[in-house]
Amino acid sequence: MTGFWKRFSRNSGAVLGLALLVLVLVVALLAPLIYPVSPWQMIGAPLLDPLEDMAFPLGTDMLGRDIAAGLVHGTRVSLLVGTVSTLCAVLVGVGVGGVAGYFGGWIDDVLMRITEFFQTIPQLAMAVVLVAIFTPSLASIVTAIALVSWPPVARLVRAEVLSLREREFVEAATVLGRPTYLILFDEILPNTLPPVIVTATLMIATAILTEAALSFLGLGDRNFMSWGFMIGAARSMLREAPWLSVMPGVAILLTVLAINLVGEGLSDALNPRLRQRGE
Amino acid sequence: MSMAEPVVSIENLSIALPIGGDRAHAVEDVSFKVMPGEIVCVVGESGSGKSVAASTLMGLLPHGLKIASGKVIFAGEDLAHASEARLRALRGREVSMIFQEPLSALNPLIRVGDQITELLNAHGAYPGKAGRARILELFGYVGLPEPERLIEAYPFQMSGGQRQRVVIAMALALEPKLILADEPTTALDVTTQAQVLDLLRRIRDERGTAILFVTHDFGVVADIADRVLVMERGRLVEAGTVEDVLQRPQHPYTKKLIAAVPHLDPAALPPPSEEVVLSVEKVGKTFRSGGGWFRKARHVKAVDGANFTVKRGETLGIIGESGSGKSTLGRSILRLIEPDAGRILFAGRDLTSIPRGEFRSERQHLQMVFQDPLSSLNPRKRVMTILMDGPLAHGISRAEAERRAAELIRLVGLEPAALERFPHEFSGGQRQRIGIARALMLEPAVIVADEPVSALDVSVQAQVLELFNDLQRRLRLAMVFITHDLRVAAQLCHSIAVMQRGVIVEYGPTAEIFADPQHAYTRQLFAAVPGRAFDLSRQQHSA
Repeated sequence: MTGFWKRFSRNSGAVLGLALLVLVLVVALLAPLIYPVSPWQMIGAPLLDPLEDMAFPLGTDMLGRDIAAGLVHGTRVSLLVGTVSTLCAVLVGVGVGGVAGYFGGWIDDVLMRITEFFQTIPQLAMAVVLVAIFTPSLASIVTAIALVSWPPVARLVRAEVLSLREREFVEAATVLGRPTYLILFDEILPNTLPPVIVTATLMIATAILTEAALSFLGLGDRNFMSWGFMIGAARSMLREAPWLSVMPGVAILLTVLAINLVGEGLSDALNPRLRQRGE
Repeated sequence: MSMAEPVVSIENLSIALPIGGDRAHAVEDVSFKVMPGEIVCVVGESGSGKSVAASTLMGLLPHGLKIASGKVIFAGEDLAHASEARLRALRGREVSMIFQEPLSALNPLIRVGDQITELLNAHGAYPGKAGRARILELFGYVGLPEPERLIEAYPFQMSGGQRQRVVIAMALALEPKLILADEPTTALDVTTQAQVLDLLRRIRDERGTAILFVTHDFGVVADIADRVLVMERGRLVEAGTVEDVLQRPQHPYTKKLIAAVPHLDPAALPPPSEEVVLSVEKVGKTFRSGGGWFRKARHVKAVDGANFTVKRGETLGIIGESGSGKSTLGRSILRLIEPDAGRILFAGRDLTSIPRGEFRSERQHLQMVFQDPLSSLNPRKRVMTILMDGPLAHGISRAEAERRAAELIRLVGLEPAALERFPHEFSGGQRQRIGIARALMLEPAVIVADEPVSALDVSVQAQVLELFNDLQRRLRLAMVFITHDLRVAAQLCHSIAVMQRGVIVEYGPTAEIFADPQHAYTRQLFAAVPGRAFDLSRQQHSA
């Protein structure tokens, strides 16, 4: 573990990303303490500029809602949607890819054709359709994002399993008489984890962007403040009050950047080939 | 000879390793000369720095290594401090190289003729039509059949031996003064190896080219070297003529290495019992590939009508070159590959008639030791888990499995603390010991070992062979030992089966076959074993 941390910390961008991500996480957890009042509450004069009134350091929107409170509460939705949908997508992807790669033959053919079917439809368009059908809610958004983002994981895991399946330790497990499900889940799949972790990190970033896009289009969950909604609501005021869109935009940018940096650091730290060269 | 200028002389060369390596220098204070027309062998085990020392001559040090001090004098010029441009001009023209793996040394997408043309063009030699004539001449010289046809071939269309001849032709193209050969025959079969060694000797004799030959194999050294340099952990521990070093080694490390080379005369082994454990009857396996709507499927008979029996306490060696079907036969016994003909009887029962789903419970009687000790151990599991997985899958209690693991890890010569570690924390030999312990966890009656020592250094190989013999004495297994190495077979096997193109061409007691091989192919294999002269002299010494 210390060796892993050493390799991870060699990438200074990754450390910066991790620090930023931890900050975002802390803000998300403490949101109800920082701003106990609902971010939907109209508590100030409308369209206050940032720093104009120190009670609302980032200003207010056209209805007098606190921008800072919106940003802080929006963090929760973004991270929640990002991680939960990615988790679901990874579970589905690993399952489908693992089974397809290990058993091969017609099972592989069927599963891969289904995967390709999902891949041929543009992700965002499909997510929009799914959320529209299910009526927008946090659960339907998470489901929609998970449904559109599992195919790359399935393909990645299938490719890894195809090469791992030929390794001698898998033959060894067969010779030992281990049952098939253990060979797949205990011997092969744990070895696919490093690339899957890296992909998953980057998928969280994409999921956050997709959620923002859905909210922007008015398909967000109205019970929760989200960054995408804030941008969408402020777009008609873009010329009069640009900061209304810029602030949540910057929040999305920084969070996604942080996650990407961490993902890249993980990729360096988990990639055995780079590891050898460094040591 | 004393008047001649050396082709290259290396003086007090030290090459630093990056900080944090297992030692400070990859090569430390090494000095040697190579004279025109001589073959100098650099011998050592993996990690001895032999390849690194040689690569300085091409200015091709591996990433992260730097020359710390010393000189590499080539034709009066110090290459240790030469510019990249100067080194590029010398490479191929003055110094050229033959690599270990000819398949990866050649570009798979370019015809071999064009690859050599490219080299000639890069140095502005043999322009236009002269280039093709030169390549044809070289192909003829290195003994490639039908040069006119092969010049248009892609690397994958050639055999391993032909590819290595192409690489040698390329190395010779500009008549270099020095050829570096880094393990050039290690990836080849013995019979091909013998031909390539012949070719290199001819190049030395006819062209006066100096050859620096890096190898780990003392048999090859005995056959080809004029002088020998022995390296241990980056230091040059012994240098001398081939007779001196092989017959009268001075340094303890050299003595140890030479003693570790298995003898070619069969060892005395405890006799097996009369009880037949495994009997293979007319087993065959045909691979079909490439069948389509418009093409006929290709059929390859990997194994054809194999017959043998193994008794309790007997080790049977299956000998063959790559592609002979020996691994397919071994895996068929364990049903890792389903044989499509014949019967495999274990303790009187026909294993091939048991349905695949029910075969899992039979597996505890038949175990395997694999070739690559690293890839045969799951990198994410501790040794304890690796050893216990098998017994747990067969319903043996956790306590009993732990007891066996603790016992076996000692039996194979490792500390009990090894159980808590991961595979990558061990050396190659230690990993192979773990692989052997794993195979023994289920107390099997039959063990199939597929080239279990071919990935190991000689001294480690000797220890692992000793372990196999020791286990066989104690546990009285029926062992099928697959190998390409007749020396290894001589030390371990009661009987041997020689395979050629899927067919067992000769089968009998080891002593008889070694004394008087009957089949032409067996004789050819024996003739190709490197270092036979050296063996004769070793026998005289010990007599």
